[in-house]
Amino acid sequence: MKTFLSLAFRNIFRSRRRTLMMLLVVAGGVSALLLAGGYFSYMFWGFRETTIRNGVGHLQIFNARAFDRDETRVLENGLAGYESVRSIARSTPHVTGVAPRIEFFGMVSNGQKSGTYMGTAVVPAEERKMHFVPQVLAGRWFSPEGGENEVIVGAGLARSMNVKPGGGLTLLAVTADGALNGIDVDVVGVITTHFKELDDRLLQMTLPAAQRLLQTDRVTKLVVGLDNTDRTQAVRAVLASRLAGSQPRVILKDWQELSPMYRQIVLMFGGILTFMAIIIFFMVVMSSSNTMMMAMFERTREVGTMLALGTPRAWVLALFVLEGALTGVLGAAAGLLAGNGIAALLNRAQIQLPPPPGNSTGFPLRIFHVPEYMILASILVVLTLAAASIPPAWRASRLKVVEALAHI
Amino acid sequence: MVSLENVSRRFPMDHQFVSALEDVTLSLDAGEFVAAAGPSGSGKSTLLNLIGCIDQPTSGSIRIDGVETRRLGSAKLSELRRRKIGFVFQSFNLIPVFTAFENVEYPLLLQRVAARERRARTLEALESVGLGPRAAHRPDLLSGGERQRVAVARAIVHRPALVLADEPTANLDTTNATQLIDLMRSLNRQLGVTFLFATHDPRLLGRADRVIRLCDGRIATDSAKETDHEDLSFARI
Amino acid sequence: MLRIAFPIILMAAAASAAGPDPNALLREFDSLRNGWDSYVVRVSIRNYEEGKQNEEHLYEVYQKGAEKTYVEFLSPREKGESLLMLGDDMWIYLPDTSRPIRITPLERLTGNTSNGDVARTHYAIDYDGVFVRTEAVDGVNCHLLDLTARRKGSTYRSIHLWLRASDARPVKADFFVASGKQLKSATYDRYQEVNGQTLLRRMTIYDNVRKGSRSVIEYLQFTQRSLPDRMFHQGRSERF
Repeated sequence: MKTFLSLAFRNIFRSRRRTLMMLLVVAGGVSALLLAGGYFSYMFWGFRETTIRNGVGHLQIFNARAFDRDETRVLENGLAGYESVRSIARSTPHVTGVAPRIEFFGMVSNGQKSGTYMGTAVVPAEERKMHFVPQVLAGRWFSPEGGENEVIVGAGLARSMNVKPGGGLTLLAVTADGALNGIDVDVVGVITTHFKELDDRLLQMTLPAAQRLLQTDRVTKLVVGLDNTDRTQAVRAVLASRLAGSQPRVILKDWQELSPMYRQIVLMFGGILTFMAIIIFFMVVMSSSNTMMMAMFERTREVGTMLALGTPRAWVLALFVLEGALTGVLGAAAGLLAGNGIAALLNRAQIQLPPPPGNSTGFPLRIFHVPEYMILASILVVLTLAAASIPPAWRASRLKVVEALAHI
Repeated sequence: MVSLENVSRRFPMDHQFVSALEDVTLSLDAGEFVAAAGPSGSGKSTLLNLIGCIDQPTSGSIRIDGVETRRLGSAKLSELRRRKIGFVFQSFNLIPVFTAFENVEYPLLLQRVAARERRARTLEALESVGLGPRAAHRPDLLSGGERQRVAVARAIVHRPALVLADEPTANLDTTNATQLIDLMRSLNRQLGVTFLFATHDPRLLGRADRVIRLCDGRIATDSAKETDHEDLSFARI
Repeated sequence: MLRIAFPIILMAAAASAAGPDPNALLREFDSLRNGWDSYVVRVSIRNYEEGKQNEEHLYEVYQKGAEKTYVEFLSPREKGESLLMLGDDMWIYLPDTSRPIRITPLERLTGNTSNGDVARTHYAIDYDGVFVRTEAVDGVNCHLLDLTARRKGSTYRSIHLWLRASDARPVKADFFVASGKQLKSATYDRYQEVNGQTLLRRMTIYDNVRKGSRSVIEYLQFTQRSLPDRMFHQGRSERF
C-alpha cells in the first residue's frame, strides 16, 4: 500500500496554496496548545515547588487518629513518641530531612491589644536542611545559637501587633489538659510566605517553647523532605511499608493530598486547556471542511475513473481520509516545530510577569516543553482532520460512476 | 462472450421517461474488433456503460462471460470490471499525480499483484504501446497522443477479456488518431482481447471488423448480420 | 393651677399603671447580686456536660462600684491567673508572663459562664430596659423586660429577663448575641440572707446550642469590705 500512501501525499500538494492555508491553521492550533500547555505546566511546577518549600514538604506523617475525628483538646490526636518514627524515616533513601512540627492556634498580646495567631513550632536545624526557610523581611530567622523563646512573625501579624525584631509578645494557648497557659517570647524576625492570609497570622516558634506552652511532648506531624519531587510516590510506598507496624499507628499524606489548592489549580487549568483544545478542534474543522470538499469535487471525474477501473468504494473513502490525516500529520509537525521554537525564544527573552493573586512577588516567564502535550496536540489535530475529511470522503465513495465520468 | 437480450435503459424524467436504449439484443464473440456508431444521443455511450458494468439496464439481461450482471451487487460488479474489463476514455482520464508507469500499473495494484510481477507487466504494456522511454513522466508532460496510449496500456495491462473505448480518438489529431487505431487493432490481434469502441470517426469505422449502427436507442444495422445477409443473397444467385 | 395639674397627674398615674418602671426593677435585680458598693465574694462554678460534672472552679471576686472588678482564680490548675475589668475593658493575667491579654466579657470563663457573668453584674448600668408584658412562668406572675446593651463593654447584645411581679426576684433569663441568635439561658435558683440582705445564692446557665451542657454558679460567701483603688490598676506590679 505504499503506492496509496504516495498517492495521498501527492494529492495533498495538488493545490499548494490551499494546502498551505490548511497547514497554517493546523500548525497554529498545535502551537497555541503547546504554548498554553507549556506555560501552565511551568505554573504547576512553580506552584508545586512553592507549596512544598513553604513548609508542606513532600510527605507528612500523622497519627492515624488525626483523620478519624477532630480534636477536642490540642494534640489529642498528636504523634507521641515520635523519635522512633523519625529515625525510620530519616534512614529511608532519598529523604533529606524529617522535621517535627506542632501546629495550633492561640491568642497573642502586646500588652495593649490581643490577636489570634497560627502557631507553627519547628526544629530550626531540620527545617534549614530541607530549605524550608521563608523569606526574611526584617531581623533574622532562627539561628543555631538562638534561644528557645525566639519567635518569627508573619508580616501582617507584625503589623497588627505593632512589633519589630527586638520586641516582645505574650502568647496564650489552651494546653493539652484544657487549661490556660502563657509564655513571654522575643521577636527576632519578620517573614513573608508570599500569601497574605498566612502572613497575617503566622507565628513560628521553637519546638521546646511550644511543648512548654501546651504542656505536652507530642507533635502534630512529621514533615518529610525528599531530594526530588518526582520520587514522592515511590518513597511513600517504601516509607509506608517500613512504618506499617509502628505504635501508635501512623498515616502518610503526600503534598498533593495536603494541598487541595494545587489539585484545584491543576484541574482548573486543565479545564482551560481542554476548552482551548475544543475551540481549536472546531476552528480546524470549520476552516478545512470546505477546502476538502472543494478539493474532492475537483476530482470527481478522477474518482469516477478509479471506480470504473474497479477500485473498491472503501478504498476511495480510505484514500480521502488518509489525505486528511496526512495533512494533519504535516500540520502537527509544523506546529511542533513552531510551538517549540517560539517557546525557546520566549524562554530566552526572560520576560518578567506580575505576581499572581495572593502572592507578593513576580516571576520570569518560562514555557515548558511537555512531551505529553506534544503527543496529545498532534493526535488531536490528526484525528480532527481525519474526521473532517469523512464527509467529502463519503461522498466521493458514493459517487455514481457514469455521472462522475460526465463531470467536467 | 458478451450478450445482451432485450436490454433497455430508461431514465425517468418528470412523469415519463427518456429511453437511451430500447430493446437491444446483440452478442459479441471473443476477439472481435467492433465499433458502435451513430449520431450523438443514439445510445452508443449508454451501450458501452451497460456492457462496462458501470450502469445497470432498466430491463433485459446482460451476460459477460456467462455471468448475468443484473444479479451482481455493486462490489461484485466492481470486481468484474477489475478483472475482465478495460476502459479507454475520450479525455484520457489519467491520474495526474501518477507517472505514466504508475497509471498503467494501477489496475494491477487493484488486483494486488506482487511488486515484481507488476513491474514486469507494466513495462511490457508500455513497450507494447511504444512508450517505454516515457514511462517516468507525468501526464502533463505528455502529448495528447501519448496520453491516450498510456490509457490503452492501462486498459490492457491486466489482460481483460474486453476493452471498451468511448470516442477514443475524439481529442486526437489525424496522425495520432490513425496511430491509435492501428495500435488497438494490433493489440486486438496479438492479445485476442475483444475491443468495442463507440465512435463516429470514419477513420475508425473503416478499420473495424464489425459496425453496429445505433439510432434513437435501437440497433439500426449490425454489419455482422449484414455480412450474413450478403452471403445469403449471393448464394441465391 | 390644680385644674391643669390634675390631668397631668392622672396621665402620669395612667402611664405608671401601664407597667412597672424597668430601671427600678433592674436596680432591684442588681442589688440581689451586689449587696454593697464594695465587697468580696467567693464564687464556685461547677460545669456539667451530659449530666457529668467536671471539676469545680473557685474564684474570689473583688467588686468596687460598677466599674471595677478584680477576679482571682483559686483552683489549683488556674492558680496565679487573674482577671481585671476597668470600665469597658477587660484583661486576663497569666503567671510567668509580663503582659496582660485583652479579652471580651462574652468570652468563656469556664463552661457556659462568660467572663462578664461573673465580672459585670450591674445590668442597670449596662442595659436599657423596656417593659414588655406580664406573664406567668411556672405559675408565677412575672414581668418580662427586654434589655438592650447600652455600653461598648456590655456582655450581651440583648437579654430577656423575667422578674417576679411580687418582689422583682429574677426567675429566668435568655441571652442573645449581636446576630440575634440566642446563646444561652439562665435560671435563678436560690437565695440567701446575709446580714439582713437577700442575695442570690445559686444560678444555673444553660447552653442553648449544646443541650445537656450547663454551669452552676454558687455564691458561697459575701463579705462587705472597702477595697483600695490600687488593686484595680492595669500594671500588675502595683497591685499588691
